[in-house]
Amino acid sequence: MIINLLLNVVVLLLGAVFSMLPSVTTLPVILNYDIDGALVTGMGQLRTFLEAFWAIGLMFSGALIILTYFSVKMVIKLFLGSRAP
Amino acid sequence: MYNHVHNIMKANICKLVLFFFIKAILFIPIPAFAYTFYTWSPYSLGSASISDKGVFQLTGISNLYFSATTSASNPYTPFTGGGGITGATYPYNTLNNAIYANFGVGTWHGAVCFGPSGAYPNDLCFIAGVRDNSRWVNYLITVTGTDTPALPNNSITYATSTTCTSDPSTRIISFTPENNATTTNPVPFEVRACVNSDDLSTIEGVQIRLHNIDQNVLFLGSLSPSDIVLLDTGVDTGGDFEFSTSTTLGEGNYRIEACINRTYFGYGAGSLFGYAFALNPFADIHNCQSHQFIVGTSTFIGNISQRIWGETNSALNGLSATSSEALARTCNPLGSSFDIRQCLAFLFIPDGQSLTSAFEDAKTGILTRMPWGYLTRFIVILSATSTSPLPSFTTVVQVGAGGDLTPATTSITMDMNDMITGGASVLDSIHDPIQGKSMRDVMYPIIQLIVALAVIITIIADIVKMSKSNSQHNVS
Repeated sequence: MIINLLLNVVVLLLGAVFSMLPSVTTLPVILNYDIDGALVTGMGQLRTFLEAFWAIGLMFSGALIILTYFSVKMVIKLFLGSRAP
Repeated sequence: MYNHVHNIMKANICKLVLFFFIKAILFIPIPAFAYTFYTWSPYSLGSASISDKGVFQLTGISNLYFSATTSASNPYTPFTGGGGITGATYPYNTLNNAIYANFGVGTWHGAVCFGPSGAYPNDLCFIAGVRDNSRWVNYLITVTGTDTPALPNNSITYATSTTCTSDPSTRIISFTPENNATTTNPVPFEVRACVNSDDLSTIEGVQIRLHNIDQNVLFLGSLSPSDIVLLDTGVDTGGDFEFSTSTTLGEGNYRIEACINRTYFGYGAGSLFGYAFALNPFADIHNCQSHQFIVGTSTFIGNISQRIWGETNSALNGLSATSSEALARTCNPLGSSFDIRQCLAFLFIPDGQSLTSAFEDAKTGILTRMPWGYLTRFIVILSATSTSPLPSFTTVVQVGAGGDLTPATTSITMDMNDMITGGASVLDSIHDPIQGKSMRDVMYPIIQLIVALAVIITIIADIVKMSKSNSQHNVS
């Protein structure tokens, strides 16, 4: 109840503050190029492609794990500098 | 000197982290490199009293053989099918270092043979087929109360259902009690699973465990009660697997877990270690599901494992429509449902519906505003699961004489959707005539293994390279 109240107050205040900003429902169209439509269609087609070529999907997952590892390593190096292991 | 010690410590920590990392990734249990030998136990005659047909447990025992009978003169008669003892998991069950057996009302004589760890009890408790009584300990088991239906009754049946016929993959279809259900005694348990005949060689069996989770309140794991194994059986027939039983449980919170376990590499006599050391990576089955349920009028309040607000709140919502209503009901000192403990809990535990609407408001009112709204939209697009058909290309080709003012044309269409997704489904529809597996069924776990190994080797190589360059840096 108390947490609900606090959350509602925070959301209410932030909503009131940001209500003056325009709302975004889609990505913009720049030079007649519909970025939102292109992304939605492209990602949908990529998913269709990966469903058909499931082996590539597996490799993609593996690559994501490796990328995550190197990202974590970079963040550690960024914060610890020369003291990083 | 300091640097040298520091380097050694660092290298050891790296090795340790690496070891547990590999273990976590590959699910490799630590192999038992040495046997723990127990001396023949000096246990004295014991007894156990059970009310209302409980489960007789002997815990902390490494290896044993168990028998029970109504006859005091010969307590070594095997329990299977005899003396009204209605069932047990295995006669020499070492799972969880405990034995479980169920008895009807009356006095029973049980005998336990304690043997060294890792040895097959039959070889040690029997000499040339005759029981070596010096190695057995008698237990007098007194069961009082009402004789209720047996647990587990091991009433496994193999039936045929359309669910299993339409999707014959090995899996747990359903089991009860349902998640977050509130039940009354006797509590019915039912598990339905599909076992594909092709998987019989790679699955170990079906297991159902029951655990009382009330005593996890203070993280006192060592004081928590042991798991009760309701079922632990191998499966030797493909098709529908059904098991049902019921029992009387004390009021409280319970977690039931149903698993189809896959086999282990290296398991069995003559294997490399004598113990299993890795899950079979070629078996794509290790299906475990768990439900939590309440017996009687207990609540989930105060249980550590349910402190995640959503779960707790959904449980509390079971008491009333919302926590607000529950708050109004339990915090009224003049009301009949006044409960200071629940009142305090409801004060701080957020209401699920209010939280959901608050987050939804935050999402629509704040996160969709310019300029960060573009990022939100981008994330929404990336995390969506919808698919789009692949494009098709059509070209118009002129046919006939070149000088015609209105030449005849024809069109050629290249439908990538049909080529790629259609081709993939055609490939998937081809099954080998012996085992009935498609190329995907065969190749998926192999490619998964190769990718997993490639990922692990890449990360290990990087860690080793990092360690080497650090050492060289310290030396220089």
